Amino acid sequence: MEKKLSLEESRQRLTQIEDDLIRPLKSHKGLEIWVLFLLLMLTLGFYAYYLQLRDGLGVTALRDYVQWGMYISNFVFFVATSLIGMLITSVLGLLRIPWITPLTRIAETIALAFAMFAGIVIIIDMGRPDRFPYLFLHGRLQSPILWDVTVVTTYVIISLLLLFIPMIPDAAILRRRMQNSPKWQQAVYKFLSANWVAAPEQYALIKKSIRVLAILIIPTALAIHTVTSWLFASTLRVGWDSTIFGPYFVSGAFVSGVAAVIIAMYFFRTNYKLHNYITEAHFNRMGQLLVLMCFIYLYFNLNEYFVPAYKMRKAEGHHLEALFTGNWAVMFWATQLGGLVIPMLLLIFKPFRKPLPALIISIFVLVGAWFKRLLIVVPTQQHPYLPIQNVPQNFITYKPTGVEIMLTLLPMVGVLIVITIIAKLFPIVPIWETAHEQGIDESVIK
Amino acid sequence: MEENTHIPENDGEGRRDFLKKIGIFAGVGVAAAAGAVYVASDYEERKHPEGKKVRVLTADGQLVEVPESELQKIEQEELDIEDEMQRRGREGIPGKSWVMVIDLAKCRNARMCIAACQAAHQLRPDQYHINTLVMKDSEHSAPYYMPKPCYHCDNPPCVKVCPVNATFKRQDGIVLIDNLRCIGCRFCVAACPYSARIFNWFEPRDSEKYKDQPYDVELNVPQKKGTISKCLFSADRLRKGELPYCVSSCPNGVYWFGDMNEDVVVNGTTKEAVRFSQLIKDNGGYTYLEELGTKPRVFYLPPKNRIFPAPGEEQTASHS
Amino acid sequence: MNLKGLFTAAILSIVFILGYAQGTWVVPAAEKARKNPVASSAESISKGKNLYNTHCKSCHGDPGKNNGLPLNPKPTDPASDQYQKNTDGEMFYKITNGRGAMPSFKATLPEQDRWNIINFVRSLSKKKVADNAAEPAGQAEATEAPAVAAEVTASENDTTVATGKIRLALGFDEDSKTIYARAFRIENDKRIPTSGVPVEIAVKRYFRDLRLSEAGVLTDVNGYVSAVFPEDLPADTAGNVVIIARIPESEQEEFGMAVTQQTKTWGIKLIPHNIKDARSLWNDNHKLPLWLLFSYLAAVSGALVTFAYILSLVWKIYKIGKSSFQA
Repeated sequence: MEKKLSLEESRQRLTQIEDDLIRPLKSHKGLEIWVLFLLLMLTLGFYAYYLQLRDGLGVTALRDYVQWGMYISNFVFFVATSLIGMLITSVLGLLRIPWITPLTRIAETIALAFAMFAGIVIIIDMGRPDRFPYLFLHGRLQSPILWDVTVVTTYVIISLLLLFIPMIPDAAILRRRMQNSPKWQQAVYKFLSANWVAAPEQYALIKKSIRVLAILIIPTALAIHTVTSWLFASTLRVGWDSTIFGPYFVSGAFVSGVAAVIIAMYFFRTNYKLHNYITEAHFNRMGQLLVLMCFIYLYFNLNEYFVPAYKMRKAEGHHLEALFTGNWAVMFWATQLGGLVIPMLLLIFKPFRKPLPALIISIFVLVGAWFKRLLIVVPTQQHPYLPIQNVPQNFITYKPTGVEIMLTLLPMVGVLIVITIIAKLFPIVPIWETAHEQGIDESVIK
Repeated sequence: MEENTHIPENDGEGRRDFLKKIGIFAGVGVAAAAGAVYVASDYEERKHPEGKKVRVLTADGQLVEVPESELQKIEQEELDIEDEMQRRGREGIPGKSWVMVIDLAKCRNARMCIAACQAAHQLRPDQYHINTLVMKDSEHSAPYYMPKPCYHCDNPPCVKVCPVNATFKRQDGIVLIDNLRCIGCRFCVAACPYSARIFNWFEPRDSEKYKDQPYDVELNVPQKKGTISKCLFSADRLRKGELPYCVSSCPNGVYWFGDMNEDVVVNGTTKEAVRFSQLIKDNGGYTYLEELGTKPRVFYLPPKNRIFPAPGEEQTASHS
Repeated sequence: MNLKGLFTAAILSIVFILGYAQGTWVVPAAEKARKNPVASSAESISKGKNLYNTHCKSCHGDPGKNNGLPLNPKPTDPASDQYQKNTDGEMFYKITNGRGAMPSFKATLPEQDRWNIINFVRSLSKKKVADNAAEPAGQAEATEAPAVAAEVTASENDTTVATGKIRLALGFDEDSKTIYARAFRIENDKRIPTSGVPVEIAVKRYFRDLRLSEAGVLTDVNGYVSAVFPEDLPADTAGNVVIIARIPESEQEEFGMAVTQQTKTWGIKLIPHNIKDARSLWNDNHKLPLWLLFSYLAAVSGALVTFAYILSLVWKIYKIGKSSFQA
């Protein structure tokens, strides 16, 4: 940390930071086209859902054998990506890693958006969405689905709190600076600022809240993804019947989460002109973090695939053959090499951790992460213990339909909408924490 | 009956079907309710001697005439019937412990069991509650036909994972599905290692025809879009002392069915009754993939001393 | 896929068999000339009839009614002249080896049983079997049952239902758990034990009653059929079993219907046990294991308490701000 600044210097620098971080909230260049695009996608998605409601889940390529497909893969992907909130804010925050400050809000926004829409993805997959309330009216606590509903809800609440409690001082600043904004927007800032006066007691309370939440989010985040892995691991199915599914999923979650944050960082840095706040050093650090996460995930992959492949038990053998050399081989190796091993090896070298290369590599990692979920969900169901016989060919193969693809994109569009709204209402880099880090006196931040 | 049956609504077909059902599912409550209709009709008759009449089959099999206006009452009773069928369907038959034995030596893939089952449960031809598979356990072992219903496991992985108690196990061992409760999450399908469960991806077969039929949880009809279905051990037939649809339609004596508490199973073809324990002991009965710990209620007798040629051998056999 | 190929082959070959021309079934001369080593007796015929009902009837139908399954070739009615033209040796060869949809019984039925079936099939052409049965069957051996004879007589008045001349009575030997059924006619108010009557002793069960007596057994010279009650047979919760003696359904055309039953407490008492009583992961929602319930409640209440605490902290921030505004 830099030396203590004088009150006047503090004020000047704070104003500079405020100007830089609030500017994007005021300019709406290109926003209309982006919103139009999102609304178009949203309309298409709703139409697809209408078709699915009208004709049944048969409008997808799902049938009695492959009966969990892109929707459930999407669900796993969403839950996985949302885990990044816990890694950045909580683990790195509690370790007092200094460079995460400008990234915390990006991470929490991603966490909140993905966690919220994970629930929506599940509803899309339901045969009878009208009976969703039965989960509460007739819920069986023996079912991992109930645990999943519980932990996802808890995680959404924690993510909300972790997004908005650190935003209290910023909301006070916005209240002061955004007086030209519409009434409702000012009302939102007023509500969120919670009478912030930058009193030392208030700072103490905020820091305490964040610390408590940062601790609570660790078991919750572990639970949300471990329970999601149990939706598979609790069955007696080849390829899912694994004891390491919990840590395997969690480590995979960090890979896709870090990649998602790097992509968002790049986008906000260039579009919001935040080069002074999200610096090359941040990309360098996040690149290093991604190497570490990829390495851990690779280690679990090795365990997950090599150990059963060494034994080649009958049913498992069919499954692994389909992945390694069969009809899933191209996707499998493209995902494992192009989405995990090669990115990891490249990111070891510093030039690849510059913003643009890091962005490109992260896109590969994120897309690979999505397909990896598909590879976990679908091929297992094509290799049950008993042979698949006397059914039409489309019960065995799985070729997703247009409606299914639209409904897979729909929640992604939702995530983008939520991120867009948050990033348009609030500074995506926390003002007061950045100011604090630069040695500005706390009492001026209000 | 056909001529006189005049029902004003356009769904007369379904209505008539439903009325027949009343006759079939004779429950105490239903009988009482039907009696009430009878009395009421008697009263109505005196009140409006000119009123239009409809003939109705009561629970005890009597054909009575009811004024048209009374049909509304039956609609209410439909709900009561459903409630009653739900209640007893979830409870099961006390003191019973159903078990099935499938003799693999006798199966020659006649598929009559499948046909009878699909007809009873209103299934499409590609929807199986029971399916006959050609099995070949290893490279040098002989192939055989294996009818595969639901195993009604005593440690059912599917029931464990159900989030809303839509699939449940009864005291008599049967694992049923309540498709008025099912939310269509399909976790049970994922959990079943025997691929015994199917899903109604579309509007079920003839759903328009059966839409007025009260839902019978023991038969899982009418099937409903977006819910699960699977073999039910013909719980509706067992209640009436009859063998399941598949068991009694087999021409080759493949199936034995009975109550483990009585230690007797009956062959669906020959109607021969034997001791269950003896049959299993004498023939080396086993359950499929028992190492999974699911404790199936369906036992197999190995394909030894077959009376029909093995799959793929028919051609050579018929040449000799 | 290998299995798929097999399956296709199976379907094809079934089609092939079904389309098999109904050609003559040529039996080697040596087999054709084979003589039946089992003498035709009432006992052999009765046994054969039983075996026929178990193994043949599902395809060949009721003899004489020509109601076999509509297969191609159509299973022959064994009572038909066409079938009766076969020699015993030919019948034996066909039952033993099978052809097409007709299975081979080489492995499933011992030779003795196959000959019994042939004896039964032969008896069909002679008709008037009922008359023969009324004659005392000389070769049936008398059951040694004098001790229980009195008891049988004593229980004659019980619930016998009969439509023909034959009536039945049940008697029991408690020590050896042996059941005796006696067939008799009433002539001039006197009970005349009848031999050669097919009588089965069974114990009542839910779908079908479990036969305890030997299959196809006929009453001996004293009119008795006996059976030993299996010691390990389960009963209801009180140990009650219903013992039934009757003329089997397949014989009622000839002998009329006769049935009598009595309840004994000979069975193993059923210990009532409802699998749904115990808490378990597969049981209903309110029957979940307690450890699971408490773990869940602990985790959820932990989260809720923390949320409440956090909200109280935020409330404090709000309060502090408010008071400082006022100040």
